[in-house]
Amino acid sequence: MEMATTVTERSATAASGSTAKILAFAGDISSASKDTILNAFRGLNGAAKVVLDFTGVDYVNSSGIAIIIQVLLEAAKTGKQSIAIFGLSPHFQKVFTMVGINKYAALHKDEASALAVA
Amino acid sequence: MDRAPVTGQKPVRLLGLLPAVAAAFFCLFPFLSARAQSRSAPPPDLHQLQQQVANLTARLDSTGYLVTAVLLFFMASACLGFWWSARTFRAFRSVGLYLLTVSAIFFADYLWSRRWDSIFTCLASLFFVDMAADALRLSKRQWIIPVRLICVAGAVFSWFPSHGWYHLVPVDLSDAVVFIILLVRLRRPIPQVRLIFPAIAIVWLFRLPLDPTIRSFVPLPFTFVLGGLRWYFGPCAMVLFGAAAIAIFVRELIEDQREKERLAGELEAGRAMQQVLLGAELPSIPGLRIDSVYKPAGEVGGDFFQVRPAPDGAALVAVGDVSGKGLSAAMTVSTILGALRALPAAPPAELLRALNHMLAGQLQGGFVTCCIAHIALNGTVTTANAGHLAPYRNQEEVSIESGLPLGITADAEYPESTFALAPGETLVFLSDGVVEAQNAQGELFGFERTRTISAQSAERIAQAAQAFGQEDDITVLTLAFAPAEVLHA
Repeated sequence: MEMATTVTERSATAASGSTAKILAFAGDISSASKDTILNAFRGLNGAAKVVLDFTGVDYVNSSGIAIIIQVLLEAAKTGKQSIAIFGLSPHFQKVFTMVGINKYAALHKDEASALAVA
Repeated sequence: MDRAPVTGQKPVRLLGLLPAVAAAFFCLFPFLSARAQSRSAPPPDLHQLQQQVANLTARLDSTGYLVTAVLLFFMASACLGFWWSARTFRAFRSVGLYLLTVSAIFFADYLWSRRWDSIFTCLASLFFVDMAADALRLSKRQWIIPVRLICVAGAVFSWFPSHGWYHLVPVDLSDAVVFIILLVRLRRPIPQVRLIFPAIAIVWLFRLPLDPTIRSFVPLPFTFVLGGLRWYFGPCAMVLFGAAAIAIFVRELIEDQREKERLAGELEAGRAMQQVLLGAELPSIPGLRIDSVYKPAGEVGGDFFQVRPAPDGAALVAVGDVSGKGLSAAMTVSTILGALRALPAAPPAELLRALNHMLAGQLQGGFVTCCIAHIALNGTVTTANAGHLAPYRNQEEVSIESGLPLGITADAEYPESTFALAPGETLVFLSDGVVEAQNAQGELFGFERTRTISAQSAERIAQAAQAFGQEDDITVLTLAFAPAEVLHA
């Protein structure tokens, strides 16, 4: 069963004292999630510190990974956004590392450690 | 696949019920209406008796109506049965509903109910337009909503028989709308128009004698007598139309089925060709025992592999996975295999860079993972990886560097890693169809299970993942390093 992706946005204070925007994903991430995720990310209007929360995500297929990479590349292109990721299951932590996502976004265990660096 | 018989049985069961439903309807309807009449009727006098006799004679005269109504009812049932078994053919639904309401009109006529005649006429007008739109495959249908509203309004107002003309508005409106649709379609014809136009023309041609205006000029007959029964042109035309409509759409259904079979045949040919292509990618290379399994999730797959000898006696191995499935992924696979064959032997990182340049911006948001390994004669393995699963050796995943998948950004870099393969060791490449096989509970096969079975044969690994629950194409390529065979050769 494939579940639709939902994105909730919230703000948190990073260790550096600045505000970080957190996008919390839930459901499965696949090609159907493309607009939801890209719109949520673009809706942040280039916020400097972005944290992606995958705690509620069960499955990311290859198209889903392509979408995440697209988000990270967009952020990398501006050169002003830093992105951190947390809440991945060990399986997807490995998959994300395998496809080189860790070179564009730091992968963290939980929200606290993601915010501590952000 | 054996899906067809399951859907094929439903309409049969449904159609089997219809005669019973129809019989019950015929038995009960006149009885109920007669009861309703007798309840409301005042005590009979001579005038009323005369009236009843006249009514009875008229009803006998209108037996033709009953026969055509029954015929139309069965045609409507057949159409709805076809629709039940082929839901994508919406024309069967609208033709079925149209014939059903027309059949109801004739039942109402047989029973001398002007009120129900008008109500069903309004509804039939609604389905007449629906049917024309479905049959002629109109995609833009916003205009149909006001037409429907007018038809429904006509049906509601027809409840008050004193305003008998209400049902004429939907009839004329639907005729005009269908006429316009036909004209629009004639300008950009689709093959069906050739057949549907005459079918609808039958309806109009035989309805003409009923039109009071035309009758005032030319007194065309309403009826003809055949076999001792009085037949009305209108209902007979509808039966002809129903038969024609069923013939047209059944033919279309059969053609559609043939087209599906043809496409399935082409896919099957594609599958056979892909297996041959991939089989050709496994030359015999001294010192390596190569084994492969390729199990696409569909007919054709988006995984690929290639082994070819390099000029220095080494083997160049490429294993990869195009994101997405089916034909488009399979075509990308063919392109990649062709490109890999055309590229001159080079270090793995360079080959990946070249492939990435070729694919960047061409994959419509997709990507390709690929791992290329250079296996030298002495067992030294050099790899470059674009997001693919790392290979396994001795039941352990080999730790190698990885870059972004191919096709995402043209300036991706691919670092190389080097390790040594000892004689007797086997290098195992997989696609994520193994790791991400999923059971009914949504549990992934995962990296740990993959690691545990990675020392088994290619066939056993693929079977294990498939038995767990195949979701994606499964590829396993094993290369056993056996330099002794070279020495003894």
